[in-house]
Amino acid sequence: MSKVFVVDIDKCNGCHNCQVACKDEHCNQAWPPYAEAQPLTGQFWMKVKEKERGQVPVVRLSYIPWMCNHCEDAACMKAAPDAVHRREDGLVIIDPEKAKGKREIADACPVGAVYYNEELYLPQKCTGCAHLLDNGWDVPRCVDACPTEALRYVEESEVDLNEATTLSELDGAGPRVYYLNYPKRFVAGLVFDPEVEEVVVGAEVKLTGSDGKTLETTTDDFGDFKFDQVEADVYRIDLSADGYADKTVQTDVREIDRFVGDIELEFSGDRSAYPSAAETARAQRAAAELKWTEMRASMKTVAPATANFAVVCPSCGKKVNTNAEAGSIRCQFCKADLTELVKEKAAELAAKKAAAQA
Amino acid sequence: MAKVTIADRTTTKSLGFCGFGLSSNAADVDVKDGKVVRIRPVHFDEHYTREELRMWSLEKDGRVFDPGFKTLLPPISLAYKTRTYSPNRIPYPLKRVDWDPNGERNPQNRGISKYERISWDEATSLVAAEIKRVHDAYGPYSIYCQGEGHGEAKNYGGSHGCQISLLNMVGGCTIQARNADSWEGWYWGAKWIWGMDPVGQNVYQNGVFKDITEHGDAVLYWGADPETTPWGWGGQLPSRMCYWFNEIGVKSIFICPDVNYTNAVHADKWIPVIPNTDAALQLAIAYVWLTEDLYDKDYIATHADGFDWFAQYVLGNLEDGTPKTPKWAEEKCGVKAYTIKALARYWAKSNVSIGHCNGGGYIRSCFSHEPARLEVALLGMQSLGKPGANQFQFIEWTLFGLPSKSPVPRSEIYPSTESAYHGFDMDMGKSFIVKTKLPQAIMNPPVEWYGHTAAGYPKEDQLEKFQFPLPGNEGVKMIWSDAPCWSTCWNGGFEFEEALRSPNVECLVMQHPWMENDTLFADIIMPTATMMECPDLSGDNYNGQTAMLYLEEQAVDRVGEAKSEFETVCEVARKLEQYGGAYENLVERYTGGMDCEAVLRKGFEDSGIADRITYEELKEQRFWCSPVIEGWEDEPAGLIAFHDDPEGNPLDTPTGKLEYYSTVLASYFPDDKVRAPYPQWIEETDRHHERVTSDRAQDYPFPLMSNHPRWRVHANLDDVPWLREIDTCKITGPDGYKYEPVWINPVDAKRLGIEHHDVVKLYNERGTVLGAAHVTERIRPGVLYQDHGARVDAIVGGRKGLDRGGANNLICTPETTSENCAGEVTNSFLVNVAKVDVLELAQRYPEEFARDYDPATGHIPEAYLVKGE
Repeated sequence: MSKVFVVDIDKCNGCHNCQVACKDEHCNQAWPPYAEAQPLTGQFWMKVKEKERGQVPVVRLSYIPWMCNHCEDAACMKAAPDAVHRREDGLVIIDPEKAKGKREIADACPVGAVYYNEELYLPQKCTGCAHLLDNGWDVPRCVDACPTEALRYVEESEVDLNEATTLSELDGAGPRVYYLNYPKRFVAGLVFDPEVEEVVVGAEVKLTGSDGKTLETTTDDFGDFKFDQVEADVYRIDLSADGYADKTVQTDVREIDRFVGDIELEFSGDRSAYPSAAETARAQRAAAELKWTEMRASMKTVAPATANFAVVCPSCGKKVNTNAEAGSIRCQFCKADLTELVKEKAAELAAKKAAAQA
Repeated sequence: MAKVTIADRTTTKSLGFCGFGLSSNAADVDVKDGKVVRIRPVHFDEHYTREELRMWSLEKDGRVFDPGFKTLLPPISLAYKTRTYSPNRIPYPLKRVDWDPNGERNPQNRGISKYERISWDEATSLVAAEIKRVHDAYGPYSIYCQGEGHGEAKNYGGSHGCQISLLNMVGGCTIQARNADSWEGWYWGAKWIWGMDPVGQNVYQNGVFKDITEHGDAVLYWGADPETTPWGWGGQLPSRMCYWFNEIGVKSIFICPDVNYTNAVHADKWIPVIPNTDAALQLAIAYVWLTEDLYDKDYIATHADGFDWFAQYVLGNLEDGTPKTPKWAEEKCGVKAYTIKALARYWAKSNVSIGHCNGGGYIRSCFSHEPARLEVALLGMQSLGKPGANQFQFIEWTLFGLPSKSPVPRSEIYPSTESAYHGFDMDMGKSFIVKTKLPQAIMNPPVEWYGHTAAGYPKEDQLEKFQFPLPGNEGVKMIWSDAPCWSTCWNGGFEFEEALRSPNVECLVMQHPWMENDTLFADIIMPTATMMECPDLSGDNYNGQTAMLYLEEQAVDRVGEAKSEFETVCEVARKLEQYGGAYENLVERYTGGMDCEAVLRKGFEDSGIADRITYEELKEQRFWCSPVIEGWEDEPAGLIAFHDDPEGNPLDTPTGKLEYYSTVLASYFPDDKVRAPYPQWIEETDRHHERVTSDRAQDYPFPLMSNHPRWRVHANLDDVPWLREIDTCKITGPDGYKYEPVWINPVDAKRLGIEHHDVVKLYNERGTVLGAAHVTERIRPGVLYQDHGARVDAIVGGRKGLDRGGANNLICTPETTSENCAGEVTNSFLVNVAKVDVLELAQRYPEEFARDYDPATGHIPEAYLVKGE
């Protein structure tokens, strides 16, 4: 029975719950014999790394929860086999007694997940909340606190890890933290026609990397295109649109993601042969209106919604907004009980409506 | 391994921060050896199955939306033990050393002179004596109560307002009227086009999340940040909703100057607009629709009134003669004309809903009524209420007791905790001051304004004029506050500091758990307890999953000499009743003869669930959850009833329609050119020069986004060490001080010679606040961003002051929304920025820069206590 951590970057909203929950559990709180207390600040057994990508107006943040990987062949274990052991459930634990003074345990970790506590002369790291798991918890604090299931702690057999990656620094060490959707690069741009000051919709965009492989897309209603999760590489972007001269732009996303800019296309055709942007918009709206009419007709007839209404509080004379479903309700100003009054008014309105429909 | 005890007991408590008795963020608190050992989500499956609760879900294209079966707490809730145990807790009652009620009061030294320890006996005696003296010398309305605001959601000892009902028993007091800060533009503007009391945002939101799932093409997040704003009062269900929209292909379009925390992970498109210029963008969209025939003419004919006025204004056929073309708008709002046209045309052929928290920066900027009602104007032109086309919110679900105000499936019952609540209530009594005009009211009365201004008052209330002081009354002579954060939360904190130093304020009493912000100006300080230290009855009606009720145990002993807010006021009552007369028997009257247990029991009896579970059973199982209502799947969505039959389902306006021309505004404010009967673009007025094109912009060229903060709830939580370690929360300067980040675009940073993490100053003619540069593409060029609510750390207080903490509300304009609208202007105001040599600055103000400081949490009381305390 061996669980692994699965981190889906596409679901991480950067709330830092995992980082804070870990602090809540371990800062100034010791759990002997599993772990000594972490100092109030300075150690990050779970750390949310933040990566800002792109340029105005295509900017994205990728948040990467980062932690000890509880490696099968952990470097920290190799550095001090008497002081670090691997449990049956796969969690790697530093013995807070035996590891005293062994700075080499902290130095050994290729990803810096082990911190050396200067006051206690002790290397420290994530315990997988083993003390909680041994007390009936299914998952550690970080996973319990995650609001989006970006973090999971699951049986290896129960999850599809084909698309998952692990930290390259731990190649060969058997890391037990799997990342889904680890960020690569994006290439984005906007295409417009400066002569008429309009975006170009439906332009064909071809992205070619240094290996000659291509990806294709078309610009959307805003003239935007975006190639997401492409490899870090140098790319050629070929643009072509009906009536426009072709254009090529180069971009280098080996180091950073890029919004390549607002790209001008030169119109070389005969404008009178094409509908104007306004004409196209009208035609598209007309088509949409037909769809909306159909959609509305196919929906169940709407029963009248419960209307909100106001009653005047007999105690203080103020107008109070309420609703037939309000139930037991007091005047928000003077706390008088308005329940009966509201019931009466609701019944009155319902009768009126019924009469109007008759 | 040997077993370790992970907890002695667990109690369910509210870790929400709305205050006002609106508990939320239900959390399980584990206690061990008398300390809070962990704060974690409540798992509903401890007592319920999904079937029992009829837990809701949505499906689309084989995908399933699951709201989760545990509370989705935010990090500010999880970290809360650090607030209870903060080194910044006020340890015992304090008195300002040079304030002598029998001698010199030295008001000019407030914020400068230090504090000495006194006993509770002395503190409450002093407060009682001052109340009696002011009553005798000036009358009860000379005592001003600051007793509202966000903060812990305690009920029995409400964080704010416990003193109000006491003073009302002995003649009354002047109440701080909290202007509708969360809703300003909606309140003063949108109400006049579509009604929607109590606050001007759409009240009919039922079924909208499902409606967008089924019929929606896009959601416009117009200034919305649902990954941040809901944290204080509801949790993270909105995050899951945003991911759902991404998953099912609902296009997520963000219109705002910054890449806020929702934009950062959810956006399909970002349209970077210059702060508070959304009205120009909106007018240009209307122009495209009008000139290209891309709006629903039939709908306007049957659902709108006065549309022609609006149309002619947009086309440039009225007085100003300016057609609101995309090219015209481009210059004002910084969005390219081709993008404006693309947005307008996309919207015209798609089912577009607008999602909000409370509206973003422009809702709290000058002339905010204009973009607010322009939004409604645009929604109306695109058949508001048709499938997929509504306005909805990610927060405040069922707020104000309105079940229709929830876009997610509702609970069968929303338990009430009202009768256990002691604190601020909505009745302003006879004498009150609108919060935005407080400094003026203190220093230079009288002041006048329209409306009670508080959230919840109907729109007609805005037509009534009020003044302070009431005729025949003296002004403010004493202030009793439990919400000591005006300086970092409202409009122009340096001006407020000036007011607190006025000799008009003879006595300044504050009660608060932490030594922060306005507490540093008090004459008498009484320490109050946090929610961990108190028992309570709380609920969670805002999580969007299941409405809850729970009995809270006191988790830990009182810290220091803290008393709960209710107890504190009781102790003052005990001293007051010794004066006899009107004060006779005051404690009995104030407490109603009920102890805490009795109050909680009564609260439970009145909660609405007493027929479903007994008090003892609730105590035993800790929390109760409501099932989801039946039949939510068939409920009509949003404003579809109004859409289908406007005559049968009128809006709350005089005509029952969308009033593009408000006859009420025309008749009550015929000379108001800024809030005219129909919405407009307002460039500048004599009160507000905050445009990048104004003359002030030569000295102060950057509009400042001052948002609801990411890592705080307004002024709360600035001292949490685990949040302060996060880069976007604080940046450590060369002096070891943690500065409030200032976002600056690389283009501007380069031009100004500012590098990442440089200490910088933000300044205008009202003063200066410091911060540290976060050079980022998350803010458009020409604009700056610094979250609001940092703790004030005054190097120089008062007008033209200097603050180290980055509390930029200190330098907001004291002027309100517009002449007849007393809303706050605390966002999108002009500042300039420059690098600062903080070590050199420290040499100029050695004492202030050397205050006792704990980098993990910030300033500590020792900094303000006389040495040896």
